[in-house]
Formats: sequence, C-alpha cells, structure tokens
Amino acid sequence: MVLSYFRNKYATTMDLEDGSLLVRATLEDSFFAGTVEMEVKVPDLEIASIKGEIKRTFNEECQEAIPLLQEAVGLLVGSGINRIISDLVGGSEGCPKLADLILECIDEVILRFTLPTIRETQSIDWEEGIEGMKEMLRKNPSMLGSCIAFAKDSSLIQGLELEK
Amino acid sequence: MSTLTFARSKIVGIECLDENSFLAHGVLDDYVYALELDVEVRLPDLELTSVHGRWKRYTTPECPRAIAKLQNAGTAYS
Repeated sequence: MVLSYFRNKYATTMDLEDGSLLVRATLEDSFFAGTVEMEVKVPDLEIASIKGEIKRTFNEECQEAIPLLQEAVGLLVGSGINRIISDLVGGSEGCPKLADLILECIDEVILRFTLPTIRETQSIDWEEGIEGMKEMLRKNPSMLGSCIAFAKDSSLIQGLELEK
Repeated sequence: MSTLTFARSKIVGIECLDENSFLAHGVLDDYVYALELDVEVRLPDLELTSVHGRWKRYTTPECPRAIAKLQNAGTAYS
C-alpha cells in the first residue's frame, strides 16, 4: 500500500554563544513546505528576531503572510502566547501554518528548559524521583492538572503540599 | 560549532484502506517523549472508527494511563 499523504515536521534548538537560543521548525507535507527560525533571549525568553520562508504552497498569495512573522518579535514565551500568535499570525487574514511553526518553536523552548529537570529526576532512584517531581510542581503549580501525570488522582501528587 | 539542546520530529503518513476509509499513522519522537498513533477514519463524514496509541518513551509511570483516554476520541469528528 502506498501513501496518499505524507507530513514531516521537525524542530531543533541550539544554545548560542551569547546564551540565547536559536530555534528552527520546518514543515514539509504533500501540499506545503516552509520554515520558521527565531532567536530567543535568555533568561526572559523574549523573541528577539524571527524569519521564515514558504518554499512550496497552493497559492502565491501565501507569501504575503511572511511579513506577519514580525508580529511575534518582542513577545515573551510564556502564558497566553499561543493565543496571541494564533491571532496575530494565523487566522483568516494570516497563515495558520506559519503560526503553527512558531508554536512548535515555542514548545521547543519550553521543553529545552524542562529537559534538565527530567534528566535529573530520571538519574536518581524512583522514590527520590517522585520527590523531585513534587519539588518541580511546588515551583510550577500551574502544571497541576496539566496532564494525567499531574491529575488529582495521580500517585505523583499524593501528599503534595503547595506553598501559600 | 553549537550542538543541539533539543530536537523533535513528527511524521504522519496516510494510506487508503479502501474507497471509504483511510488510516493515518503518526509518530512523535523528541529528546523526552516517543509515541505512535494509528487513527482509522471513515468517509464521507470523517468519523474516527478506531484510535490506538503506543508509548515508546515517557517521563512518569502515570503517562501510560493516558492511552485509555484515546478511546474518548472514538466518537469525535475531524
């Protein structure tokens, strides 16, 4: 059986010498090919610069959405940014695919900074690992209820006391 | 030269099972997670008739409990 549709989306993150991040996301599927690349300042996670390219698409009009990427410059990676990007870059007057690539970059930035904590909790025995996750939740209470691992009935949050 | 500090790939392929249904197979693989999903969809109303997923790599022993939640999508529409 041969495929009738194919999509490949990949993203990478690098730490630059000045401490900022260079994040790049690329989408290539049967109908569209495009890339978004942005630099993010650390530690405030401000989008310092962004550029993008649409290499293949349905209509030439799609190219007119490229300047909209600049709407993301100055935004901080944090609460509410997904909605802002979808409104400013996506939607009927923009390009949802470019907006999606920015969101993919944002997810990369968040996971880039989550990765060391996950590595740390997995490098120790399980009981200590649970304590490490509880400590992470104490520092980031917004993660409570964010997924099944941090749901009310999860073993990971049994006995968890949050700071008031 | 800088090395990668994080990377993620998402791949989806769709094949037609017959003239009224198709199967989408999706894979996510990044520095933290790895999982696969098979979704069968029936035309013409794009009804999800089957959803199956497999974790390959995850972060907590609670994560596999999410596989059962996929069945909640069985009556949803694209």
